[in-house]
Order: sequence, then structure tokens, then C-alpha cells
Amino acid sequence: MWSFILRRLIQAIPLLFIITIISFLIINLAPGDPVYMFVNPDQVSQQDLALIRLQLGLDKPLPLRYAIWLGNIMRGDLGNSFYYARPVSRVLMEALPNTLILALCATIFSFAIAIPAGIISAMRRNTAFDYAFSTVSFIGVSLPSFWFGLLMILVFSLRLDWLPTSGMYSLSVQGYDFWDRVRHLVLPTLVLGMGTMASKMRYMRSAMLEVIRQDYVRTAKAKGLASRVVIGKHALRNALLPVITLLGFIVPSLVGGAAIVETIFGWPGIGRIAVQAAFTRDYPLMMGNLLLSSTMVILGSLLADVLYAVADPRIRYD
Amino acid sequence: MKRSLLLALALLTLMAGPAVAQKKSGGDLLYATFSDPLYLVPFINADSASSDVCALIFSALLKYSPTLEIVPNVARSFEVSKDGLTITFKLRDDVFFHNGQKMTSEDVKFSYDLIRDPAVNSPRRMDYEAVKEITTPDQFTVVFNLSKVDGVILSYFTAGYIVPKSEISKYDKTKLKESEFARKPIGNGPFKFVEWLTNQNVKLERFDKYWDGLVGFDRYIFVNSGSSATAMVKAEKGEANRVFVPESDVARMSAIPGLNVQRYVGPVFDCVVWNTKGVFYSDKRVRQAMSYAINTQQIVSGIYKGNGRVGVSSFVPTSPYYNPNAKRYAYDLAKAKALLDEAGWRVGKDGIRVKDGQRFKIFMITNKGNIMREKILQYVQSALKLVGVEVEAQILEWNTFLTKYVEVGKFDGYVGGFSTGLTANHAAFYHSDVNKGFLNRGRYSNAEVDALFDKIKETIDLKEQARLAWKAQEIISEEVPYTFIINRTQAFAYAKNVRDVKSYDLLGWFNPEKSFVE
Repeated sequence: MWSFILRRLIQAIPLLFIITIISFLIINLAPGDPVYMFVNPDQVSQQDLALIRLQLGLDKPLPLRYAIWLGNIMRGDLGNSFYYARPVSRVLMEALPNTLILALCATIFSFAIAIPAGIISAMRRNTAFDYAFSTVSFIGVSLPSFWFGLLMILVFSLRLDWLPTSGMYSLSVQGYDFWDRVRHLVLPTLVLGMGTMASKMRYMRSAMLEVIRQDYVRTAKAKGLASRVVIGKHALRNALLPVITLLGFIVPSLVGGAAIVETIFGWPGIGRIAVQAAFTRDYPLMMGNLLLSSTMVILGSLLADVLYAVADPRIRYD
Repeated sequence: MKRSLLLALALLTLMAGPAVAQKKSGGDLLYATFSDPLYLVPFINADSASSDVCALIFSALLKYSPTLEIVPNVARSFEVSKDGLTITFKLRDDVFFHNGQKMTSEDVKFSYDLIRDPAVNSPRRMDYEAVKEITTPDQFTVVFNLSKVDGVILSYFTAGYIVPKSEISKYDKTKLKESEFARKPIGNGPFKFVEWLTNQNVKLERFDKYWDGLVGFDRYIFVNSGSSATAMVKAEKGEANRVFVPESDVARMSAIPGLNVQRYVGPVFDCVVWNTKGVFYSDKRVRQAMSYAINTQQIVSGIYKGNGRVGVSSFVPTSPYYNPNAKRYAYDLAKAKALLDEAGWRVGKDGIRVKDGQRFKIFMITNKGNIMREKILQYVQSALKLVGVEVEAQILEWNTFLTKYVEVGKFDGYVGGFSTGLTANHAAFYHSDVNKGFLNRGRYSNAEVDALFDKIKETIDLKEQARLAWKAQEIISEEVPYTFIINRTQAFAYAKNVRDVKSYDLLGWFNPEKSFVE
């Protein structure tokens, strides 16, 4: 097992290297010029533009710029954000805790709904209940979150006045107020969770369907065990296996942030920074963000494989 | 803290008796924004979020009055010598920085020397190109010696760029953007900096030692709500009491009972730029015909929903430099057709005009993302068809639009917009010298207009500048290098209990330090 993990980690290095080359190329070759973020493009002279290019290091050819960037990464330096004029690592680390809170809540929320709903749908498949759950979850995954988010704000904040519109806490609150934070979390959690609920539910449902057709479940039933015990103890444990591995794929989304939801709800997380970085052609920040998420994708899929082996004794890596 | 302040205020009110019993201060201004500032060093930032914050933390030597006259601010008085080569500022002796230090002539000299230092690379550096040397004869006198007369330099002293020497000199001047000061500024303005949480909010608090009497709000907080839509909902719900309202939402927000929407004309103009060196638009009669054929009134009321004034000049009608007598082009298809006929463009078999075998088919562009400009382009396309001009329209990505088309003159006409500043110096749009007329993308050239704008730059007397600007507009309105379309308005919504909000054309919210929440 350990040798497997080590091997995978070593394999990750060239993979990351290739990812950075491709993303560096895409980012730099995309239309748009970061220098226009610093001046009014309607009224600027060519000399000023040249000076800004020099300051940002954009006067050098692309391969050289990549080499410099890579060299700095090796030394643990992600560079300075063009836009914020601050170290990329600091900009990202400031936003990371906020993104983690929101992503964790949304994940817990979506699992908390998806697992029971998936089980019940599987047990009563092709009933009205099954269809209702499927319909609701598909609506959830199909609704664009920028629209759904605004709708939630309009209904729950503006019309019903139950919840705050956006932000992480109320400005009138002095210090830390737990319930104020919770109230601010409700809507973004709901919108973010809804989007991923459907796939988890379908996953759970099909895993459950597969398991309850197995012989040992029939045996358990034949022994005269109560249905609750058959499902809850025997079937569920095995049906959860594939779902556990989903955790591995959730890791990148935990740190990647939810660009749209964070923007709509004024949540100061990584997703919003990624959006800003793209809009402002902030190359170092975009690269830093990409490096963070792609590392997490690699680690997440490794985690998924490991969890699989831990949870399922039939799987062994050598 | 807040309570003790209120208590002190109550005591003050009691002591002063009934004469000041009316409450004139207090409350928090919560301004719902949708982008974060970048760095709060006033002469380095160029983005509006940063300069909005800096405008409250820093106060300038001079300021504009509501009638656009330049008047003293933290300078007690100023004097320009007869030859125009010396500007002397006498400073107030009661101006303090937020760290408690008194502002002196040393700070002023230090600040302007920094701006002019190429190593600092301030985007404002060229504004002070004419300054040769700054001297400080005494603690409260600053003298700017100029190498040449600069007719518009006074207006640059209305932006608050004075920073405390004792604080800024701690940092590497080439890296001020990255300095601690950029995240924790110390100024001389009505509000002092408290806290900045990235992508959340910037908190300012009343500066009690501000020289200009009691400041209105207790706190001034910029709440970053992520998107314009969310920011407006925040104001609608009362979680914020100031918000920017885009043109598309002015009508809706004005109808909300708790809000007071204020509009003002900005120092901006949108227009069609004609390529005066191209095949079609080198003849001024053809350009005049275009101005007659485009119904600007209809664009303003239809596309902009009335959020602006019909454009007639690069100068906004409320500017003292605007010439109301310059030639206007009211919508008139007959005149447009007559002028085109006169210029030799005859209507061909398919309805499109032809001259010497050349069809009148023009290439027009605008940039993607600005919906108003895209709509104007569509309108112009259909409007010009009525006078026998075919338009091939393209909407281009900004960078491509600018570098591959506009800057290299690859267009017959384009829909664009400019911001103008408040001075009489509009050389950038008209001067044939590319360095002075760096925004003259239609490559318009007229020696007389060049001379007039050169003269404005060398004239100190503002009345004389106005006379020259009027003269220039007479020529420009006859020659039509641009078809002016609109001077757009900006709109902000305030909660109704935010009192004493005054907005003026070109200046915007004039008295943020004197407003308060009732």
C-alpha cells in the first residue's frame, strides 16, 4: 500500500509539470492583456504601456517567463499577484478558510439529503417517491446557480426577510456571533449543495440497487431479519463503498471554491478570487490557483483509490 | 467606543443649547460595492474602487466648487504669479494626519516629489510634467516652480495626494504598492482607516481632528457584495444605504419607496469616431451628413432610457467650457441626403450610393461587452441605410478591437466612449500631433484647432481658456470629426434616511463628509 502511494506521488510530479505548461500556455495565449487593468485603455500612451509591461515582467518571451515562474515555484514562491500587488500565496491563504467552511457545509448538506434519498429511491424504485426525488434533484442540477442564487435572495431575504442577502456576517455584529454566521451560510450552502446533490443521489441509488440484488441480501431476508436490519446493516455498508470514494473527488472542490455561488453571495472565497483573476488577466494568481486545484485533483484521486482499498477488502494495491 | 461618542455628542448638544439641537451627524454609511480596492496609496492606484476609498481618507490642496471653480481646501489660499511660472500655496495650520501629526509644507513637497519621481511610476506623473522644483520657504508655505506655463495644472491639485512623509519614507519608494501603507493608509482626510478585509469590507471611521468641523457619519463602510445585482438587493433590503445603479436599473430602483436615486452627468461622452483619412469620411460634408442621419435624441431615449444628455460636444453642457452656440445637427434625412449628393455620392440601382464606381459600404466596429455600444452600432447600421449607406458592422473583443483595428486606423467609423476630465484641455481628442492628440483615432487634423488647444495649455486665465475652447468647438462642430451621441449619467441610490446628500454634474457626490444618517 505504501509503495503504491509513493509511486503515485512520484507519478504526480511529471503530471503537474505538464498541467502547468498547458495552463501557462492557455492563460498567456488567451486574448486580453493584463496591462489594461492598470490604465484606462481609452486614454493611455504607448510609453506608459511599455513601462507597465516591464514592471510586470511581460516584456520577456513566453518560454523565458515560464522558466522564471517554474524556478520561483521550486523555491516555494508563487509570485506576486498583478492585480493585488501582494504575494499570491497570501491572497489564496486568506480566502481558503472561507471557501473550506462553505464547501464543507455544502458537502455535508448534499450528502445528508442524497444518501437517505438515494436509499429510499432504490427501495421504492419506480414509485412516485422515486420519481419525485429524481425530478427535484435534476431540477437542482439543471438550475444555473447564478439564477437560482438570486432567486433565493429575492425570496428568502427580500420578500420573506428571513435571511441576510450576502456576505459572511452582519456589520452591526461586534466580534464573533455564531448564529449570525450560520444565518449567512444557509443560502449559499443550499444553492451550492443543490447543484451536486443529484449526482450523489443517483450514485447512491444505483449502488443500493446493485447490492440489494445480491445473494447475501436475499439470504439475510430469508433468515427472517427485519427489513430495517437488512438494509441498514447488511446492504448499506456495501452500497456506501462507491459513495465513500466520491469523497476523493470532493477534495478539489473544497479548495477550488465555487466561483458563481461565491460571487452571487459576496462570499470572500477562492472561487471569487479565481473569477477576478480571470477577468483581470492576473496571470500569477491564475497560475497559483490552478496549481492549487490541480494538486488537489491529483491528491483527491489518490485519496479515492486509497479509501477504496481501505473500505473494500477485495481491492489490494501492490 | 460608539456609545461614548454618542454620549459626548449628546453632552455637546446639551451644552450648546437649542441652537444646534437638530441632529446633523451620526450613523453608518454602508456603501454596497462589487469590487475590492487594490492598494490605498492615493497617487499610485488607477482603479475606481481604490480611488473611492482614498477620496475619503485623503484631502487635497484645492477642490472644485459646485460651479466648477477651483477653490482652496487644505491650502488656505493659493496664488499664481503673473508670468504663470510660480504657484504658491499657503497651507492651513490646523490640518492633521490620522497619526496625530500636523501636516506641513514638508509633507506636501515630499508627496509631489514622489509623484514626479519616475522610479515611483505614478500614473499621475505626467500631470506635473511642467513642475521644475518644489520649495518650502516656511512650515506652511509651498512653492511650485514651473519650467513652462501650464494652463490646466491647477485642476490636478484638486486630487488628494498628500501623504505623511514620516510614514511613507519608511518604505521602498519603488514598491509602495506592496507596502504596509497600501493596506493600512494614513491620510489627512475626513475619515480614518480602520480595517480592510479582502473581498469583504473596508471600514473607515470619522476623524475627529478634521479641520473642516464635525464630519457627518460615525463610520463609512464599503461592503463588497460580489456582484452589482446583489449590491442592489442589499440596498433594497436596507442592509446597505448607498449603491451604484446601472442604467438598466434606474427606473426600477427609483420606484422603490425607501430609496432616493440621484443622477448626475459624468465627464464622459459616447460617440461615433469617423476615420477622416479614409475614402469615405475625408470629406466634411459626408461627415455632416452622418450627424444629420443619426437620431441621437432617439438613441438617448430609446437605448439609454433617458439616462444621459444628448451629446453635442466633447464638453458636457454643464461645463464652463461648453459652447452652446456651436453648430447642432438635429435629425434631418433630407439635409443628409442633399449633402451626400453634393459630395458626389449618387444613389445607385440597389439604393446604395456610388461615387466613381465605389459603393458607399463602410466598415464599422465596436467592442464586445458594452451592450449600449452594441445597440448603437445596430441602430447606426439601420439609420444609415435610409440615406443609402451600407454598414458592415463587427463587434470585437476589446484587445483586438483596440490594437488590431482602432489604433491602426482599420475602420471607417467606430462606436466608442471617452472620459474627459474637467479641464478645457481636450487636445487628446483633436490634436493632429500624436503625442498631444493620443486619442485622436480618426486622425482628424486642423491647424487652427491644434493652435487653439496649444494656446489653452499655455493660458492661465480660465476665462481666456473658455474663449479658446468655445472657438475650437465652433470649428469642430462644423467639421464633425465625431458624431457626438450622449453624455451619460451616473446614478446612485441612497436610503431615504441618509440626509444632505448633494450630487452635482461632473463632480458626483459632493459632500460625503457632511452627510449623515437620520
